[in-house]
Amino acid sequence: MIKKRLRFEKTDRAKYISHLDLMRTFQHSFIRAGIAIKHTEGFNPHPYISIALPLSLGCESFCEVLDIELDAETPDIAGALNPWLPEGIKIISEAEPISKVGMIKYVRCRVSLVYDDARAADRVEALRTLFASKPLVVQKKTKRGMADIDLAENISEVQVTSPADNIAQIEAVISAAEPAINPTNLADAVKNAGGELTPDFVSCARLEIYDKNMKIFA
Amino acid sequence: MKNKAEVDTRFALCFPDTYEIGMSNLGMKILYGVLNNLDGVWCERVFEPWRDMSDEMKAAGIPLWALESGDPVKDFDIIGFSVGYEMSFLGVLDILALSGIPLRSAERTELTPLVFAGGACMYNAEPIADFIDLAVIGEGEQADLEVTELYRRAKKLGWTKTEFLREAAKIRGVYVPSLYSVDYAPDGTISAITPHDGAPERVTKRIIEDLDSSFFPTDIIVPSTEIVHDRAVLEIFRGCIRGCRFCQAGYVYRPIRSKKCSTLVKQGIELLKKSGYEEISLSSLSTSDYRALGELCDGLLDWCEPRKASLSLPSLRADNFSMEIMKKVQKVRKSGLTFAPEAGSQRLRDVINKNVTEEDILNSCRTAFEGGWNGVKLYFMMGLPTETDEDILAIADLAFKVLNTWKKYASNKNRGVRITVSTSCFVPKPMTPFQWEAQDTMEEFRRKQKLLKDNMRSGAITYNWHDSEVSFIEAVLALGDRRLSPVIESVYKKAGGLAAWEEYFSETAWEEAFAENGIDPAFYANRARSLDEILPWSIIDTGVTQAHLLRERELSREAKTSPNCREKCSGCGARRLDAEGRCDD
Repeated sequence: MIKKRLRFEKTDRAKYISHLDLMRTFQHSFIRAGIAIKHTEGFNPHPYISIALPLSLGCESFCEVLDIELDAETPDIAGALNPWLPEGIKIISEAEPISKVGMIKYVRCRVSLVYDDARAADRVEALRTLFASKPLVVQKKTKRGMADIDLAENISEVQVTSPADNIAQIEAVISAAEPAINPTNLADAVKNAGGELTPDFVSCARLEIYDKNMKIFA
Repeated sequence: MKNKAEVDTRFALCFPDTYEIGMSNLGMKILYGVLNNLDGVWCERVFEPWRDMSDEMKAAGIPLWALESGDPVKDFDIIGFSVGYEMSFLGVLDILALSGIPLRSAERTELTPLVFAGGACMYNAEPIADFIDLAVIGEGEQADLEVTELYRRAKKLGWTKTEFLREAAKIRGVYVPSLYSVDYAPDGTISAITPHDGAPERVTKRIIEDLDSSFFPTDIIVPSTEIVHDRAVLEIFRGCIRGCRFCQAGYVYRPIRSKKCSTLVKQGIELLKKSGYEEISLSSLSTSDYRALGELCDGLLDWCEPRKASLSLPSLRADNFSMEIMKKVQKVRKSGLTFAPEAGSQRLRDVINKNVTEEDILNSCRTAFEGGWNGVKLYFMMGLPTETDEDILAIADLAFKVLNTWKKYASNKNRGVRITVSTSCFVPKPMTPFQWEAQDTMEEFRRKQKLLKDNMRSGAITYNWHDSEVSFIEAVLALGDRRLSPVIESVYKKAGGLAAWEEYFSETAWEEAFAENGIDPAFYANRARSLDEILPWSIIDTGVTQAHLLRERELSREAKTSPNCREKCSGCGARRLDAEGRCDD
């Protein structure tokens, strides 16, 4: 059994490809690249391809994890696969998996708040204060409906900056599992604060994933 | 992708419906390929955006763009539409309007942009005659290139639009609506269609004579989102030997031209390799009539099986459905099974020349149930010529017999059975022996649907039916003339595009538009035409003669069938389209 773990980016327009469509795109791309993926046995065979932590539609990522099983040892998967992937999706490294996917615990993320009035810098202090407040409760959709969740307990290393006149940027480490915090939950906290802080547009990105010891997941 | 700076002609290949539908269309893939094979021409795709998107575009003042370059469609040289469904006429207007291109041909006085259309609906292009500059009748692989080359010449030499259109009308298969005037009798029927400025008396459809050497796309664009037919599609032959009298495709795609098995295996494997699809579907009007089907399946499966790719065979007939073929295709994945008896009673199946017996249907179902299938879909049409309530009730009887067949022969009854009966509303189509027929009224359809629903007595049988409102408009448009152009324009202004979609189909908009333009839609949909009436599409020649259509119509009235084309050639006339007179050779 040959297992491989690929790290890939999903950026620019590719952020609008949904998780299921992404799975399908990878399936097609492996075939086009001539890489034989192992299939399940049985009545309706499907390829062993899985994505560790499905990404929300519209969110970019620089640290996605794709696990595959191959029929034969294949050197340079990235080199073979990248030409077939859509613009914005790129394999950046490949290795044998070390940890189980369940070991993923934290994600470093970036939330960019766009303010059309180009006065983003004026809001940095207020945003810092907001993310220092305890508790910081937002509503989160769960399998059992909406639930309250305290961001303060599940967020660390918060940095607020203004890299451009119209952008205020929050970078933070959030819990990726139990509970799973989504970068958009941070944006929700800002929207709930309302008033001057209400952004005109929000974009999110995942920057890195870690295990429970804050070691980069591999 | 091509470089803008290196081309002189920009072609926007437009599909007047959504991306998910248009990207599934084989014709689009073929034409996209042949047009981009021309040096100096860059062909790009354009689809109709969903309403939320077009609303945002309008609000932000962003005109519709082509997908490859992102450039506005209005800056293209040629805007070509592929129109395969009457309700997409609204989509044509939607794409033009969202692009900021004047809707009417007469309002576009310059050569550029040239707006034309092709596809099955162009056998009667009259309802959109006011909007398009020209229509290509028949298969577009060569004719579209000829139109494009003529345009390039015209652009280079500085021809006016009028000069170009007069010249274009000389290309075989090109119909220029503005070069024909239509006169009407006091009763509203057409009294004369007169060509002007050298336009031909009759426009003969184009065909590709040799499909083996004709371009077939294997280097296709693979969407990153799921489309409706998300699989590789391999076209195996054109035309159909069956001659079902309601079926426009069966008449207009004649003569019968098959691809060689060796060509198909080669193209199919290449298509799977290059697209990365794990499923390949054979495309034709009647898959099981492909002579070398077994050999073709073997050739493809040899490649597919070890790679876990599956093969699907749509359009199987109930009379020659074989266990052998079925076993072949279910080796990798088992798909659903659908039969289309079209009519419930033998008499009515003979009227439409379906040439399928109840025994055929039940035998096929038995084969399927014995082979482990536990569901079957049965398609029927309502409102076929001469139909009575007895014929409607026969649909329920047949469904019941299928259920009994399952009870008697199913190899595995634990999982239960699902029998789905679907009825559509018959729309008489131009170029068929039923082109003179009246469609049932909407009330009549509803009554028949209720009658059938009340007589479907088993919980194992699900009955679905199409709403008659849409089918009524389909009939008006299919059988319509150019007096409908203003109606279509006002429906577009009231209700927008995407008219084929339940969400956006507006019966009220149609009713108002008919009333405002003084048009009685029943004149088109519910009126039986006399056999000597000049029909709006009578200047179009599909190769099939009027005499043949009349003969078939006569036989239908006597509930007599015609042999299929392989048993006996009925001399329909379509052979004439081939330089050597070949058909199914």
